[in-house]
Amino acid sequence: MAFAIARDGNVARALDREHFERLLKESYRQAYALAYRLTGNAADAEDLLQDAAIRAYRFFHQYDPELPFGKWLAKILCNANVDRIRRRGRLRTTSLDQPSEAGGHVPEVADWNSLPDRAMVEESVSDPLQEGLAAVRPEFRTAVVLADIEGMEYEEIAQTMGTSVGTVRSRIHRGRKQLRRYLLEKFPDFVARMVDEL
Amino acid sequence: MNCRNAQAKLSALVDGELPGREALLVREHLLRCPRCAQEWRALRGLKLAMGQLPDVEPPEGLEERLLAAVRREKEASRPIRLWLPAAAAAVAACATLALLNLRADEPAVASKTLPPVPASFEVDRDQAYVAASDPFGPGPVVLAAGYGRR
Ligand SMILES: [Zn+2]
Repeated sequence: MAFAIARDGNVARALDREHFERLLKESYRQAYALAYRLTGNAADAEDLLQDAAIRAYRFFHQYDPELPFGKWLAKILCNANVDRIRRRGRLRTTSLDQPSEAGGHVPEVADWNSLPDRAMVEESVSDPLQEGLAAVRPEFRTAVVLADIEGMEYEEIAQTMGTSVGTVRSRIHRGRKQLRRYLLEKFPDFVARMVDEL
Repeated sequence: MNCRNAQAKLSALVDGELPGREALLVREHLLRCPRCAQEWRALRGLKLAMGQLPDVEPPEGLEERLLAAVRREKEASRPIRLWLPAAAAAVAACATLALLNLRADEPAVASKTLPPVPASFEVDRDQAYVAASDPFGPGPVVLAAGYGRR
């Protein structure tokens, strides 16, 4: 009896795995691009994506096929990235995250030494924007990347990041301001060109 | 609308995420305020530049490495009776039956001839699964690569 159950379970798992692998093959390119934009380098991007793929596999039984697999994977990836940064002990969760309309003005951080991903800044040499992204707080960076590169709407970003639309709005705004401030300081020519090309 | 109100909404305006009436009010402000209009242009330029970042090409062999990682995960998380050699599998299956029997208050016939049930092992596994049950939870659960093979 136990063996019959084991065999049936085995078949079900094999089918499940096949299904999972097919979905992963369809989605991993876009997920890698997202991981790269969030981490700023190929090695960390691959680590992050692998972490996300394993988590996704482990919790595949919870996957709701109503949601495109790529979106589900993106969500897991964003969460895995938050964990990754937390493990490094560099994520500071402070009142900076409150929607800005709510109250007193909170100064944007300009001290790059205290920012979360200094290592990421030093590793990304290729592109001013990619380097600038590294200087943006991780929660803000994630929101900006999801909006501008993944092309998600605020509602979708809120779902992906497990937060409210108001918080997404605030994160994106602050993220862009931090990014712009960094670019103005380090790559003024790039910023001038960016506006010229409008 | 004053500058501070307008500035806080510029990104949402750039993203097309501002409700119609609000969008109108902000646009109206931009017509009369060169400073905010300049800020709006800058934010829009930034968004456009982000959208023009080149596609990221995955490195050679990434697909294979990902699939291999998933398969390793599969091996590591297999139930005990599937990865042990056949003889041990028989023991485990009988032990499971014995446990079921015990729970049902029936005589545990099979267990008399078998070595002790590796109960601590089962408990460890279950706890690991419980701890890992929330993929979106705050903490990661990292299982050793050889997890389940001891
Ligand atoms: Zn103004």
